Amino acid sequence: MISPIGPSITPLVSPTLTPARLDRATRPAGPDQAGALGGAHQFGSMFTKLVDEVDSTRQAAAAATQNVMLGKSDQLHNAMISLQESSLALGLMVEVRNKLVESYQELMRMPV
Amino acid sequence: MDFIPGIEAASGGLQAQRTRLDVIAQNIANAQTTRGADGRAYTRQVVSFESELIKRMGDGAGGSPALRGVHVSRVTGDPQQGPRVHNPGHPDADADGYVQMPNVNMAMEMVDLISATRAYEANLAVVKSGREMATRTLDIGR
Repeated sequence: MISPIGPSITPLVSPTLTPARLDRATRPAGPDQAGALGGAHQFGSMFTKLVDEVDSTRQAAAAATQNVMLGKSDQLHNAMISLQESSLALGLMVEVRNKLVESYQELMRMPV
Repeated sequence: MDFIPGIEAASGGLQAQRTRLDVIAQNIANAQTTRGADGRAYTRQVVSFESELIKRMGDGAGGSPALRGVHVSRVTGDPQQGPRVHNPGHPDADADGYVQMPNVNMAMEMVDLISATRAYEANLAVVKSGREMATRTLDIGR
């Protein structure tokens, strides 16, 4: 039971380990490595896309509100609705971020 | 994005009731107008609504349920004849001294006004509870 974990534990406790090597050591080695890196990258771009999406709803809400304020549009309800939508999108993004930070902290608390 | 359930239909309803309120305001404002652009007394305008397809749910096949919103299809004149009032001093009086008044009935307009306001409030309630549902759903993460 111990032998599969053994090799990966040994470099972690080694005093000569540099941060870069620690980074490499914490990732799964072997043929899986490229896939895991790609996965991390994909997740990062997905989160960036989510942030962009939230920002675009915010911009849409700002534009709708501005149009009402400037008298270009009389759709007060649409402006309010898009404001609500943008606030909900931001709430969703914050929830996703909270979950991410939570899982990171959970990993950091893991006894080695 | 479609975060808030029911928002598209409710938004259409709000817009439609807004238009209806605009037309009622126009009717009340013109309740004493004896001469319009066509030289005749103002005719009461009535809004009619029409349902419109927002989107098909499911695979889009012929039998799939459709989500329908509402929009104002047209604004038409009320064909009813307005009262003729004897007022020989009026500039729009005919040869017999009668003035053709608009067919706007104030009591009816007030009832329409209440109904439009309540309908608008009902649509607002839908928006509010849709938002409430979405907010509660985000609370799953807590």
